[in-house]
Amino acid sequence: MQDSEDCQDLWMEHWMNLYGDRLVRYAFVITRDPELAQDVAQESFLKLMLFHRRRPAETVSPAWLFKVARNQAFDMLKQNPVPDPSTLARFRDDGPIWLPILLRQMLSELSVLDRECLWLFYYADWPTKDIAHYLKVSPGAVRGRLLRARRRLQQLWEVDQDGHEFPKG
Amino acid sequence: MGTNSPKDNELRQDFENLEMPSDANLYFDRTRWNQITQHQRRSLLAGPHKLGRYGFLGAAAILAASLIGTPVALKSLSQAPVTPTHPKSIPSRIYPWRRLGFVDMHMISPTAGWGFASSGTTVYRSLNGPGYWKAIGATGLSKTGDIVISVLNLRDAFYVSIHNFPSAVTVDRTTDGGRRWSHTTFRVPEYFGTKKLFSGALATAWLNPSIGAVLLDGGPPRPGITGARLYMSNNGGKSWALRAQAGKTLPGYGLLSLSQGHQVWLLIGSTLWHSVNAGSNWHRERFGQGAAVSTLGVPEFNAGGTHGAVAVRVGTKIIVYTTRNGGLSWQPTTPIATSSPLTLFRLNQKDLWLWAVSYAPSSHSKEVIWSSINGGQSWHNQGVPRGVPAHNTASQGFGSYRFVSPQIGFSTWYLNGQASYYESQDGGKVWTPVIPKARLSKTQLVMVNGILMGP
Repeated sequence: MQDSEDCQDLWMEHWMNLYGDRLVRYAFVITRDPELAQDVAQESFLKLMLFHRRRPAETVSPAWLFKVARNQAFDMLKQNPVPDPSTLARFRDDGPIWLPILLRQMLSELSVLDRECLWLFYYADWPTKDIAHYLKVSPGAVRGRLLRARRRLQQLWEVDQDGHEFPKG
Repeated sequence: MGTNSPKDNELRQDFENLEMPSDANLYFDRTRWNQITQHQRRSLLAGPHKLGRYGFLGAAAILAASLIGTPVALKSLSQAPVTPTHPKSIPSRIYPWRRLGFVDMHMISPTAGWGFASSGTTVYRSLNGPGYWKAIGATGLSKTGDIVISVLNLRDAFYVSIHNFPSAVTVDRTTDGGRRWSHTTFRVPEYFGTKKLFSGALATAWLNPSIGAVLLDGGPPRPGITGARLYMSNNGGKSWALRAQAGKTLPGYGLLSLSQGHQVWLLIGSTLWHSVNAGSNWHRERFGQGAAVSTLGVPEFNAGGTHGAVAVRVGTKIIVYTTRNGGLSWQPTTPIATSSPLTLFRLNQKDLWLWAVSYAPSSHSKEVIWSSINGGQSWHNQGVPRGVPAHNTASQGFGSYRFVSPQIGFSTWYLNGQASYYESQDGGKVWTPVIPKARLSKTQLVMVNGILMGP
């Protein structure tokens, strides 16, 4: 029994080493709340542990884990009101969680699906084909979202010499 | 995961060309995971639960309760407001451009540079030239003590500060253009008579993002008490080693620079000292004969520490010496006949500037700029630079100048303790004022010398 638990721990350790931080960041991109993202990651790993305990012979893919986290994140978003822009302002420069200013803006300016596509493509290095399969949309739609996200980010960096507002995307 | 298609690669290249924010600095909480699993491991992982007689009774009670409660719960849920799963983008909050107060502005190219807030810890990145800026990160240091900011390129910068009680040196370092800063503090033994580091006695130099030096002073050496101390790091400031101290080998405190092969240069007064072994031994660098020779600044070297230049006064003439081997040998350039104090700026092997500026302003100071486009073989007198404030008040003074191309340069001047910045587009002949601005809300503004500006 003890050996079995040790094996479980090692197996989970391996998964957490590989995907722990990435899962928290992925959940954060969806929820825009570091605490909620931590909840999502913990719940997802708990589900992974239970799944493996009940069906040890079945292979688990990272996409499965990300899918669980995604569902969990959207469930938690349903339970919690959509955070207003001031939520991100809680994590200020001198706070315990440091969010780069441009990232904060990126999270405020892009829609949740655009953010998700951008993160999976740019930060997690997924090909558009895999993202499309994962999100159950066409690769063209994913590329469209990425192009829109890129254009919006570019606008964020552009200088409006006349002091006008940034153009709306 | 699969492989990238050519379209993906093209898209990825597009993103690489755009300045992207770094990923969120969030980590999976292992402590919380351990707490959860300790509680749940036994109950959930100990195998399928066997229900006894009381278990069946409990299950029956729950089933009955759910049968009664479900219609009520469904009714209340149907009346609850619907929260959209995929929220639309939230409109951005745009603030007006407001003036910034910088303790240091350092342009790397005509359009890109660094700005360090004079109040607070914010670090700014220029958006398109020195006029418009965006907050990009924050250092972990307050500006209460003495600070020296060293910018090496668009990615690497160091922020060194000294503190007392206990005496310590703090080094903040960024390798991603100012977004994130790592923090290292090393204690300095309280060997000074006052048990304090001298205010204003902090000099730093960086050969590259790895090799750097910090020079501290605690006053003149006395029996049992040493003065200046030289510390060096070869791992980007993560750890520091004492290399030399006054009273033993170090000649004293002064301006510092580094060149290739662990060579250290130290300017004390008008005497230049040179060490070829990272401060273990020192000798006086001699550029000419006689007592009338004085060095006008610490040598300036390129990023690799091989090519450099230094201005030396020999009698009534100024001679710029250049080197191609990190300072092991120096070659004189064409002398300039002048008695004014001069500050040298070296852009590359060919483009050199000499600005006759006085650090002790007086109404008799005469500003003149010489420039050379052939490594000092010939010098061109550009005359009095136009646009910069004249040296006619005691509270006004020259700060520094640097060129980022043969035509474009930036200079800093001080008026009543506040910095003002100027830009030249013609190699230093005409200067126009630059007012750095950023989009800030009213609550972000602070009062600096009676002026409301950005932090």
